[in-house]
Amino acid sequence: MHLRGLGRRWATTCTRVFAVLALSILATLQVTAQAPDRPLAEPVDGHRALRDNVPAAPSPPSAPETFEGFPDAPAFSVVAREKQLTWHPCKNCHIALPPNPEPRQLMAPHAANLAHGDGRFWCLQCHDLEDRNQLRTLDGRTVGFDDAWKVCGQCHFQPQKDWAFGAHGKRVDTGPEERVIYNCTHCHDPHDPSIKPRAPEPAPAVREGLAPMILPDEAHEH
Amino acid sequence: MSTDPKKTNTPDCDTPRPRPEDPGKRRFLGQAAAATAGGLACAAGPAWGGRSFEDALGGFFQDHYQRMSSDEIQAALRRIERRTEREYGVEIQCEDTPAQPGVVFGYALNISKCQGYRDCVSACVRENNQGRGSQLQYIRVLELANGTRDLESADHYYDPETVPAEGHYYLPVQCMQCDNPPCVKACPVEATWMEPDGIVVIDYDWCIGCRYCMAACPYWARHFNWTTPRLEPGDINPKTNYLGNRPRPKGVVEKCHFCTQRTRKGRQPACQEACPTGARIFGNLLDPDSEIRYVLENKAVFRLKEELGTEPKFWYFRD
Repeated sequence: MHLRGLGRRWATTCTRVFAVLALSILATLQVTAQAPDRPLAEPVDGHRALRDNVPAAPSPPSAPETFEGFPDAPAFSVVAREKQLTWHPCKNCHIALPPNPEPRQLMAPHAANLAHGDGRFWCLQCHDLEDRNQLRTLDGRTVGFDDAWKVCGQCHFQPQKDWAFGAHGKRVDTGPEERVIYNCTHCHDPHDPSIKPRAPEPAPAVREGLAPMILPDEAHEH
Repeated sequence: MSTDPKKTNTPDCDTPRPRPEDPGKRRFLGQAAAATAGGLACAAGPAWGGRSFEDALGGFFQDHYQRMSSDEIQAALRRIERRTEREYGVEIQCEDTPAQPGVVFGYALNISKCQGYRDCVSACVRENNQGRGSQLQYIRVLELANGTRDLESADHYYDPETVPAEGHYYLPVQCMQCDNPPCVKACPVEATWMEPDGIVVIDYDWCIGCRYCMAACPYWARHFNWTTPRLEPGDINPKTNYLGNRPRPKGVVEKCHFCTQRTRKGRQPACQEACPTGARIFGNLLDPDSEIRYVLENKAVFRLKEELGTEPKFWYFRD
């Protein structure tokens, strides 16, 4: 009995001490919360406080930005394309033909079918209707055939960027100073752009004077 | 880039190793032999393998490339030209183009562009005067099944009607010009070393043909001339370099040297010029505006057997 009473008193004392400690900690926290170190409106470490992040007033509408190339890319020039085209200038024939924007089956020397875009495109997506010697961008500017990369890059912007910086496409062997690169249309037929399979160069031959090679799968059969 | 000269046997980039001018014992013997050669000129003939007595002695006493003085190098170059004319009937120009200062060459290859045409292989064979019958090609284009990168099961003898074959991709492998080259450490006579521009080269006249370097190379990049290279006169590329594509004798090891005869003059290597897909990108790793630096900084590149710590300067990437 005596021991049990002592234990209960001991427990009561402990509870009181804990309660006092907890209350004091809570009070300290509250004091800290009530007195912040700095006002909230001030930027903390370069970040703006969220409640200050009001959306900016809409700027008055201006002319849309047009793509002018990659200013950070090392300077390059593009291998001229026009003089490599068999039928250019197109106006040799089209000077006499009235412009007809209607999609239809074209006769030679035009490409027989337009595989590019799986049938979603028509000539005028890239070719200019009025000036047949030129290509045309989607924002209505005319572009020469030598600058065909500007037309291609409207959709294929990632390859275009890689191409301008040197990770895609082929560079002419002109030395490290002068950077000359091939146009997109030099390798990709713009009317059928995927690269077609072709025959490889011959496989490595067995050294002269040795017996013909037996491939591993043939060796199993013997 | 590693700069420890002990590890890579490489002089500092901007201070090319000066040519020694003090005559050593070997050099003294060579000069003495050359002096007596005039007196023995009457002995020139088949007895010296078709060479003049002076050439025979000069070749015998020729020193290691890095120890030769400028005059000795010039004499060695003229000997190479005379030998090629005698053996192949072709006049070539053999030069010793030094490494350009401030240049370390690196290579990047886009495996999503490579179609397995092997144009690089044939261009390399033509450019570098490799024997046509010796099954010696610096570049192996490996054919791998999509989704795998098991080099052991790769096939470089593929020969379908057209490439790329369905379900396969292609991984051309050549000398990686390691920055920590195990082949250099393996060579017992120091006939191979890394130049200041990062190219691992071979002095074919100093190589003893032990092939230790071939065993040390984890990339199968080194090849041995089991036979005298068979070259028709029309096959020979006359623009050659001492540490590059000069015609090699039988019994020495050779490998890709990033076309030193071209790249040290600012040109592209032959494989890059020949590749019709533009998968190959070559340039100066120290030039922050170079194309290869753009690839390394912006593409997910990987190297082969990177875990071996050989630090190859040849990266692969995909679009």
